[in-house]
Amino acid sequence: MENRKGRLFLVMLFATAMTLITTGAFAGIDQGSVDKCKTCHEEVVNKFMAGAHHGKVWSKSKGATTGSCESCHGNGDKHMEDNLKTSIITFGKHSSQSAEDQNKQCLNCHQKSPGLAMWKLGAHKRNDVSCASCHSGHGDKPQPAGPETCFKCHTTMKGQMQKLSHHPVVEGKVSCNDCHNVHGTTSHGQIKGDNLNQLCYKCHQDKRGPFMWEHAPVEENCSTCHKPHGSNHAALLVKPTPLLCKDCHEGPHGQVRAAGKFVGRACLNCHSKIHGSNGPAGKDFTR
Amino acid sequence: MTKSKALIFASALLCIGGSAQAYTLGNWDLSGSIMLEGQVVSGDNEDHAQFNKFTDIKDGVTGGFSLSGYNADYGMELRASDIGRDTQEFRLSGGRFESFGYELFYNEIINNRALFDGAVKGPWDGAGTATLTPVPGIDLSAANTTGEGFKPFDFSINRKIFGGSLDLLKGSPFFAKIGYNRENQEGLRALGMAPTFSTSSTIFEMPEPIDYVTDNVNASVGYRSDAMAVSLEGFFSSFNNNNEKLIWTPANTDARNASGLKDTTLLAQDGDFWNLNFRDTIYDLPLDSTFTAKLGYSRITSKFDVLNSANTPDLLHSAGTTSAAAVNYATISTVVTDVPAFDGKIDYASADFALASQPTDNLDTKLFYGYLNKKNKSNQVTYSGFPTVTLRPGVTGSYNATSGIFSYFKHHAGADAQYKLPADTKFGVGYDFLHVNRTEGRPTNPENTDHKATLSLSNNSLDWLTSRIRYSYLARLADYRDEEGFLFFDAAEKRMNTLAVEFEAMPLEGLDAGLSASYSYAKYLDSVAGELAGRLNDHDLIVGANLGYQFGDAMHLGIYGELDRYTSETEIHAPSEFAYNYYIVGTNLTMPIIRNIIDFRAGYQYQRGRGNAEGEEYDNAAGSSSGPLYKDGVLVTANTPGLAGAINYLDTYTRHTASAQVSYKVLENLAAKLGYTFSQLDYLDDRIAGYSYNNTNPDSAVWTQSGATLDWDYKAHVAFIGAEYTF
Repeated sequence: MENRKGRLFLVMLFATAMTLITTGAFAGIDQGSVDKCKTCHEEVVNKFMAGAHHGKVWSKSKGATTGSCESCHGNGDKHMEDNLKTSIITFGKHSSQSAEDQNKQCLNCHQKSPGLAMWKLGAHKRNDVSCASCHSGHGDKPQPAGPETCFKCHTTMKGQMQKLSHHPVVEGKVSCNDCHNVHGTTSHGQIKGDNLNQLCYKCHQDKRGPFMWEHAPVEENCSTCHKPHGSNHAALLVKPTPLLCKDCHEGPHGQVRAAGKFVGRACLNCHSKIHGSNGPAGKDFTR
Repeated sequence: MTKSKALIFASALLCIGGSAQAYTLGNWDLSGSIMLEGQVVSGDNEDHAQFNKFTDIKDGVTGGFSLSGYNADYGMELRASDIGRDTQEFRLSGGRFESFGYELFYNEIINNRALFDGAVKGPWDGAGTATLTPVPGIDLSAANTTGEGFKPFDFSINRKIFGGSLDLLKGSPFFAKIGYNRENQEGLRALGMAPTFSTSSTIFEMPEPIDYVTDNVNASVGYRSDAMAVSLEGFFSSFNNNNEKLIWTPANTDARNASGLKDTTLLAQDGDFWNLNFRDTIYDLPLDSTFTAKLGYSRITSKFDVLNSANTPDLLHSAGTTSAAAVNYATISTVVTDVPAFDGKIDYASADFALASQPTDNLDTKLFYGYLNKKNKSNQVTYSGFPTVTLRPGVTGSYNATSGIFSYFKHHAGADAQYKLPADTKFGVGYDFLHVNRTEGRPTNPENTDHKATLSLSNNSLDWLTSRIRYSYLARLADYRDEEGFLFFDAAEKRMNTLAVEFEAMPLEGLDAGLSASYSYAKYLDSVAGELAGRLNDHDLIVGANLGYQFGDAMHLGIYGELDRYTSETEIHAPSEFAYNYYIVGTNLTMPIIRNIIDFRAGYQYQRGRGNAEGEEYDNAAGSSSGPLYKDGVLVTANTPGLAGAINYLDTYTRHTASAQVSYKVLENLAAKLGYTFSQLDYLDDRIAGYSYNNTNPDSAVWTQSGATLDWDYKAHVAFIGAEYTF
């Protein structure tokens, strides 16, 4: 125990020391370069300078005065001469540069961000998504503004997320980013988890178990029964009960009517411990 | 607060004003805002959970604020929203540039699940606690369609999460992050339960108390350079349920309940979850390659005393039932287990490797392999001592139950390549292999192997148009064991074709359009021995489109829509088909009335979903008595044994949502808004046709519902007025 405490102390000491050492500042503003752009793009430059990303920070920084519009857009001299978009690096859908070339500008500074360690392996990079598709270099907040950013490309998600049963994404209480690592992972669907079930368990802790009686399809894959992006059936189910249950379990067992076993939640009226049971009657998931 | 007071209070905000300016404190530049909003809500069932599913819109005032500050070295930001509501959130973040960062937060997430207006109720005292007793004098021997004498409660769960994180060593090759949060969940949800001593199909829908506390800790350390990135991440979560048992006295008047015997239901048990991940990524390998490896290990544990005569001698508990229809009772004094406690332990081990390369400017490739092993190391518990019963027709015996655990491992491997062709065209080809081996707990479906091939083509040759098309074919092979006589659909052999297309277009300045569509067709195959798969065919068509037009630099009109049609055919009982059609259309408009002073925005959205099933309605076994049959919400006949008919309405609904808002810039730093939102849901489902809180039909001796699924209709009008002061 003493050794463990000692090691912990050394780790903390190292981290603190490294933190104090690494008090580097961002680049300061190269005012001359900025003023050059402001001649024609005053509104954009003002917005940039007022925005936290990057203008506000650079304008405060005491670092080397190397930060300017040209840090991202490249040398603007030719552009000032010919007034062509193609003479300068631009970002977004209307850019004349490829997504890869646009992203190189961002990665010049951000490539060492821990979150981007697997960018080259991710689906977004491999599908030519540019950083500017989601991030604004001029605005006050560089982070994407809610799910609408994702809906721009994942068009059908907007409709899915507003079905009767959905995670509170459009309400702003859960973000796409809570489940997906958009900057690249080795997982299927870029999910943040060793597997889908473990991802779900982070919020649905009561479903973790271990249970005395496990429901095998539940343990293998939550998405066998649930559609996490939205469903018109209660609890994000892929089909309404009892039809979903009947895809595996046969046997007449009641009737869809007010007094029958299929009223309301149907099979779940009795088999309520469908995620796993700890009762003596666990095999039937009724306890 | 009354509606009129709320309006007056919110209106008074408009009188606030002045010549406030950005604020400087020392070398800090501060800016921020204060927002207040008054809301008035009216309508029919306007406090319905379906209207306020994840929101807390109600009469009264709420607000928020923000404050951000920067100096040469430090930055900070404080934000608060929905103050005083069940959705309130506070977040403070900041740090020293290129050095460290921190975040502290408090967040509430409400999940309203059923009616609030007293229509959710039950014959119980003690809702919200771990002990339920019948309301004194309640009589469930007669039908009680309105729940007369029942006590109301709400099915709603509120999560309150607070915590923080610290990000160290920013700006150095090293990084370290540590975070902690605590999540409290409180509320009620519906729990269906049959009492131990039911002679038939007595069922109660009861309020399950939710009182969870989960502590989560995460930490990561690592190093990143141009050549490599390496990190070690850890996560630990401890889950605690303050109500691990629900002890309840059934509310029916069954003869065996005359003495007020109790029953016990085990709820979610305390447990821990921890996870370790090691990642290593190496850049700039030959052929412009990047290689990554991830090794993960997780453990989930839960240990508790099992219900048996030694641990709970004063309580009753359900025996195992399996196929025995009338063996639902056994006093716990007769039930024994071979071990006193369940020691639950599940280990997950995973390994993932991926190599992305760009051997030429035109070729982009990726190889990957993943392994996952879930091993359930829990002890198994065997129950015995149940009464001798008819286990199934012609078979009599004593039911003994041994707990069931499930283990499996997966191999997942694949490769894909994308090649750039002339004219900004990219061609892709890929192959995925997935093998699942269920080593314990699923003997009828021990193995599946998936082969999936993918082709894709994208083109960006026109400045104004990007198009993609993608096709995939999946062949799932299965190893069956034939004892069960039918196949579980998730492990059945199947073939699936999926075709997806996407277009993004900007044909005119200011005009933005997108269209995406996907269609998948899955065919499930019978086994060689002739067992039927749970499903026959699935068809899923999804089409989404959006169109936006920017008029100049001020006015924007957007239109969007989506169609989702799903059909699923099955044949376990008889040929049948479930179909669900859903579409959503909407439009939104933002425009200035007086440029930079008065803005107007409005939106309208319409959703419609319709579910129905052919040949799905069926009855108890021929010869048994049954109750009334409803079609389209109308009573058709009182007794229809053996029918295979249709269910015409499943989760069928329409929802209209409209909103309009005017924003007025009163002063340079003061803005006001006035708005209105309307929402209406009309819901129809045969499963709640003729709904009764208490039935006493022949095949359901006492059938008590709580209203959890009843009557989702609502109509809500919301008027709001607000002000925002910025500095």
